[in-house]
Amino acid sequence: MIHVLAVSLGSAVVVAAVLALSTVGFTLRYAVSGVFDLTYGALMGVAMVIAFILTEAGVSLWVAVVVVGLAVAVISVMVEGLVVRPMSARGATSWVMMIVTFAVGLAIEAAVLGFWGPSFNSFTLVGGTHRLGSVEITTDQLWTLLIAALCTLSVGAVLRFTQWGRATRATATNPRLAENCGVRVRTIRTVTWFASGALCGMGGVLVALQVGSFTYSSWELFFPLIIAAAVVGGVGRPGGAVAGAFLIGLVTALASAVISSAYEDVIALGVLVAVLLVRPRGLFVRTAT
Amino acid sequence: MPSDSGTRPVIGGDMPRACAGSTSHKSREDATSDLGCELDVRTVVKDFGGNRAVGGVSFRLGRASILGLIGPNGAGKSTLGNVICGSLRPDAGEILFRGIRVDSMPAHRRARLGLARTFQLSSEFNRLTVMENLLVGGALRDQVGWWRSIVHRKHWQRIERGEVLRARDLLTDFELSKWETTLAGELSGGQRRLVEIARALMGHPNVLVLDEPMSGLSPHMVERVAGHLERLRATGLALLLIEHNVGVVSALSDRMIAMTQGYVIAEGSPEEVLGNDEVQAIYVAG
Amino acid sequence: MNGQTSDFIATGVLYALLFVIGSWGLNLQFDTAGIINFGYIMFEAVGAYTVAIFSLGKTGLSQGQQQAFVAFSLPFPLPIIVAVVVGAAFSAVIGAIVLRRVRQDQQAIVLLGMTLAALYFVEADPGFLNGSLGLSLIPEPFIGSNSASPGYEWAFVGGVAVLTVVCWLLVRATTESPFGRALRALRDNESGAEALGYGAFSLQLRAFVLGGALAALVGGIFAYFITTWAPASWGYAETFYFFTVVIVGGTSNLGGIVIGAMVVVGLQQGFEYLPDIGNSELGVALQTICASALMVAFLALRPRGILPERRHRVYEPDVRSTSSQPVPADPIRSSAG
Repeated sequence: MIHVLAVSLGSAVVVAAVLALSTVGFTLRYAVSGVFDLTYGALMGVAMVIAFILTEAGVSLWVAVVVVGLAVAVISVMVEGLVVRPMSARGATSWVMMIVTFAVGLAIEAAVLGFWGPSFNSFTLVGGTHRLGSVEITTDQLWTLLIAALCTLSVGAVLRFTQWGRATRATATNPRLAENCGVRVRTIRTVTWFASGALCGMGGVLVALQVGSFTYSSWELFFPLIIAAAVVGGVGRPGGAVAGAFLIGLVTALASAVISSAYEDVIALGVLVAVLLVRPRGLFVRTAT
Repeated sequence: MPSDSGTRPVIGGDMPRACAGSTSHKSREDATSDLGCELDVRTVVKDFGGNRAVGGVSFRLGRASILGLIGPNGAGKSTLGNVICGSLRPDAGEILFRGIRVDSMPAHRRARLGLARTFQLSSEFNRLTVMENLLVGGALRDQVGWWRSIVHRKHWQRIERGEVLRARDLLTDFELSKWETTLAGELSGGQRRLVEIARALMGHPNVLVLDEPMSGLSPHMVERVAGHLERLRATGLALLLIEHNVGVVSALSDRMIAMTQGYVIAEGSPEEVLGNDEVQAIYVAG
Repeated sequence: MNGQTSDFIATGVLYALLFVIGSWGLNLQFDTAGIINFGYIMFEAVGAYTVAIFSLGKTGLSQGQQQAFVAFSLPFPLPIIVAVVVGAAFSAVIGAIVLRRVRQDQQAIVLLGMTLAALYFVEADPGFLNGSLGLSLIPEPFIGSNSASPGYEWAFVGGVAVLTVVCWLLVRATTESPFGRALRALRDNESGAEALGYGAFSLQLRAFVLGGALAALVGGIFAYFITTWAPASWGYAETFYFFTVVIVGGTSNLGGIVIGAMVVVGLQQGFEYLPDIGNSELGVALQTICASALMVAFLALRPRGILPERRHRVYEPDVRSTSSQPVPADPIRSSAG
């Protein structure tokens, strides 16, 4: 899928940025709830559909991105409240949560299929092309890059510099301790899933934009890359997520240039498998914890 | 003070002279003269990151004896137990089990040699019945080959029948007969502990390492378990008893070792160890 | 009953039987050995592709203008036997890599990742297993018959039914044995089992290989039945259905799994024949949603499944033996102190 997404180096950077945005959203859920949320990909599919409907109705694409972000944010909060929280309260182990979120994700995708059908669609693109040196980049790609960078950096800034961010990081490290220190863990979780959902929704639209032609199941090709990036960067660490995303994105773009573009996804997943077997904590994590 | 290659405590009453008060490290060729030295721990060290959990501990454990290991939380007792039994690998030192070096052997191989253990958090199989728990611990562990299980059914069925008899005897000894067909997870804490011990005995171990067996037990249960341990010692078993409950340990043990922060601070008879100033400071003042 | 309904029922029964065998295999890996194999479908694919390349032969390949890295033309039942062996070997390799190094929840992701990587690899290289088109025109197992002839489906079902019974005996013998008991002990408390002398890795690997062999068997039969196998047949959602069967039917209960299989297949077949309301994919969508809801409901409310774990048999000594029969010599510790 990366080849489809990235036709030149400029595109490779854009794709890595979109991957980074999406991975940060994914990893935030793990950080705060301890759940490897397999509904995340399906929600991106939902994002694509809603965005398409909006743009067909005349809404500007970039406004749609924001609206979709909000919509998926709300759905995510529902998933957290209706599925994740009750199951965790019952003492569900991590693999049970994985199977549950997997099932819910499939159901969400099925709902999209039932509602929208299996057809392929695409967004009508606007804007021209710009040249930066020998790299070509379209206006849409520039906007994409901007949004991805802005959102990722804001998340980073919030986590780092605000009290809210500190509370979130405390919850990620040790929820019980955080609770004892006065952090309202349940609120943190709700808000984090909301933010994560926004990133998910925006990421979904941006992916669809890069791919060109998408359908209800297009997210299935992108989601493994998110998982790979998250694991490589160390699950639950937003900084690592960004690093992992760029690693995956650029390594595979390089490999495709050298070997063949058809093998890009194989290589990306190969990296995932290799990292899990050799350094399951991720590549960017210090071992002394 | 830390115990190293200096005088080491000799455990057990009638020890062959070879095992008594020796100060030099024995090579494997001398193992045969260490008859009765079931467990020989030599300057074992275990670090976690920058933290030394166990620093150069040595002792020997002989047949038909109980060695009590006491110390406050974080003293390294459980860590030492885990290193001896194979859940952890030592960073330095040696562990000899009946003369064989086992410090790089995985836990299950040590168990096969005759080194049994119980866990702080009782490790009974809670979805198996009490009888099944015991059967798992016995001779049937040599019958787990797939081919054997499927094809040579008569063979292992015959063995199983014999094992059931043995298990019933053990259950009678531990007064658990009534719960033979109960799932282990449905028993009380003390009963589960007893199942764990009985299960460990099914394999005819030479050494039994008990990690805080009395924790969470009622005083009545503590007495019962203590009685069982004394009986086991009488049958020739060597027991390493890691325990918090100083009173019970001192009553049961032939020799004791007191640890704190990874080091041995006292060793000898229960009276000597409890009379030691540092030990007093920890247990009386604290 | 007309031919079409009869075929429909036969297909349903066949799929149910295949689900049963496959779920027993997954159950061996999952419940008895605690391995979460999110990539179970990959092992099924190994079996299917093996049957394909061992029965198509060069002529079969060229007939359909297909490519494969190797092709033989062996008569039935050789290809399926080879498929099981290859499946077992493949499981041994994968298991050796994954079980040694990785914790339980990570095992799930690693296996899922491997399955996807394998899927993409097959799709990327058309010379390997004909890429995304997959392999078709697999010859039917019985020479002289063809799928158009009446009764073929039922004959197939009959054969698979016999096979299912054989598998049941095998799986049951495995679980009701010291080996099975050891796996259950390992599942309940791994450190406790190791402290008794059971090597976790060795036992888990064996369970993994058995499960993988059964998966390959199912894949092979499937390939023979629908005479084709392509990457689309092994999306990772397929594994999900196996998990649904195991969780709904009851982990640790072979009979429960049969019930679970009937439920899931009933769901699949039922929705397939719904009248087409709205778009054509509605049936598929509803089926997935129902299966998903079922799975979540069971995990939330009744995680042990419809049927709980059965009591396992313990071989009692004869009444006479307490007095007269000698107890077999204890093979270990006969010189115990």
